[in-house]
Amino acid sequence: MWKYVVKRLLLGALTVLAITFVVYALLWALPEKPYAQLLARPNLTDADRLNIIHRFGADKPFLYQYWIFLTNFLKPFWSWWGWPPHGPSPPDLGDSVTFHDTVAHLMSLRLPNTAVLMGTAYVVTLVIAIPVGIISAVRQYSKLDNFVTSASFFGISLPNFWFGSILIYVFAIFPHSHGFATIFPAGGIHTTGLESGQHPLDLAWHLVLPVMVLAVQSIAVYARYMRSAMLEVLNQDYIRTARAKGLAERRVIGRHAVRNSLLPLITLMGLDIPVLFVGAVVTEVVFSWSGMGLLFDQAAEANDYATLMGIVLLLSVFVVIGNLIADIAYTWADPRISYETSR
Amino acid sequence: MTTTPVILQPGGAPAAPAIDFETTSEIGYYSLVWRRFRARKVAVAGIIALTVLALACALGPYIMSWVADLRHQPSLGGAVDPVNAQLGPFQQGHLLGTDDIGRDLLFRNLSGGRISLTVGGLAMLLTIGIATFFGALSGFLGGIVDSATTAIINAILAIPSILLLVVFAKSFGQSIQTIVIGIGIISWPYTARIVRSVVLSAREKEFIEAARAVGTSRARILTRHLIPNALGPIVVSASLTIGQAILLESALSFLGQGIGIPTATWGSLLHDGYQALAHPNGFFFALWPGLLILITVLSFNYIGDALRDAFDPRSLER
Repeated sequence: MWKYVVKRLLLGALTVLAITFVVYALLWALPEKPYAQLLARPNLTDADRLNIIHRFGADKPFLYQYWIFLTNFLKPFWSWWGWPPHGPSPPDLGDSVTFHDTVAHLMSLRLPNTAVLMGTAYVVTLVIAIPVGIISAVRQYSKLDNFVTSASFFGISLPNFWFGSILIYVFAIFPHSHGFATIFPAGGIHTTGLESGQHPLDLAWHLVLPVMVLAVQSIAVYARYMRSAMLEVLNQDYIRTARAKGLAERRVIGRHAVRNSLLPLITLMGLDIPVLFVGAVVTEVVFSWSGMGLLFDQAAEANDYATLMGIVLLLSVFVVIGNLIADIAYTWADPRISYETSR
Repeated sequence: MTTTPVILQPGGAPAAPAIDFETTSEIGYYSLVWRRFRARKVAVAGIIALTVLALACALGPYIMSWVADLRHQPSLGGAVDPVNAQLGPFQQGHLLGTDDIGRDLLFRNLSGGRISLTVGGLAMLLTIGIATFFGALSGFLGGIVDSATTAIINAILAIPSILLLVVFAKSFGQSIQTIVIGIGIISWPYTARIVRSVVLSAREKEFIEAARAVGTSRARILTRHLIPNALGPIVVSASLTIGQAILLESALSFLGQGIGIPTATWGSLLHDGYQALAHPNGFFFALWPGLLILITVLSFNYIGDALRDAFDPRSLER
């Protein structure tokens, strides 16, 4: 097991290295430089310009720049080994030109917002999608099953930014323009003046629409997945055995079938992290939810490459660790799978 | 299901309405597939909807530019009046209304659809091309080719697609070619995996062994036997890929990183509509392009699903 984990971690580190290298190379080659605005200021001498370029490290060769980026990021992890041990300091991912902040600090401010949004959406998704998938598999081809199948097609095909815009219109703009109070806010995380984080109800009120947008899409995916996994399990011999033994149908479904059909969902959850982020970018932009997705959009808009690189790095680390956790959880949930023998 | 023809069995008696097409030997494989496909009414409706939409997008802008006024320009002392420029549906002969600077929305949506559908179609072709090539090769050759392809596939799947697309569009310009190539690079892994697994399992079957026994070359086995064998899954994922590509393109345009102005796509229209959401009549500006995207993607998804069942009826029996 440990051998497997170490192997996967090494492979994961290699993946992160490859992804960051490719994205770094693409960004490095872009014609618009992050310091273009600084260079465009009037009354600069050539020496000033060279100085600015030097401060961004852009006068060095490409590989050297990438090396600096990498070692700056790894330095704090490295320094923990020293004696006496240093307190945990955030990794140095460079400075954001547009936000006048370090990238690490910027992301530490934005990450909790995304975590709240995605976490809520995830819980809502699982709470709805799993029972719906189970019921529609147990009652295959019933009215409910047909409804679920066609509704999930709708959910998959729905452009979520459009759905979000329509929700904003229906719940915020329309009531407001007809002299009523807005039912749900058009965007943001807190009402102005209640930003302290002490107002969970206000936060929940702001969460409703974005969570709805995110959940509708993933419910569609997860319910379909759950349905087919459940159908697969229901056709297996041990279910027939359980029925033949005279177990109550409720027990056959609840104890025997559901447990096994939940297993593939674990893998899906691990693989879904990049897909979820895409949903987060668009949804956060629609609802001006200042999380990682909106940060990505703003950084891309402003050619803020340090921030973009920070997001890419963080996400690829998340993806690697998420997939690993999903695979380990799988062996834990399903003792038939073991990485010992399969190497 | 109502359209199932009555086929005379060798005995001469008309068969029961539910014909087991598997055993009727007179029908070829592809006509079987077509019959099973045809039985899905939603998918047929999808094809009709897409045909109408594609024709409207292809011809509509030409016809409109001959007959209709494409711009509503209320003047306010010589200048365009910005407040009254945006019309609702059916106002002053604009079927879907106008946008915030008075351009006819029907025209904008149809010409935007032209770009969106083109991007979707081209990206699909590219995706299928790359996926078939690498999927078939890695399934057929195995070994180091397979490991390398799998590693690349996993790396691409690990990056959020929108992130790569945005960086890609920034690097190579916000043009149709860039977006098509970007979407192609992002979406081929999904199809390649499917092609690989089909080739991998077909490689061990008897008909391949037979082909090998009569001395067929490896290249010929791959191109004439293995890839045609994967045609069903390829067609299915082609249909699903177009839908995904259109969604991706519109998400990218919505973020303002897609094909640049003044070219309209459904995504960029939606972006402008979103900005104008609070204007009077602004709702319709945002409504139409999203509705068109929904209809298109829904149709492609229904068609893909029906094709999957038509190519592989076993998937129905579960």
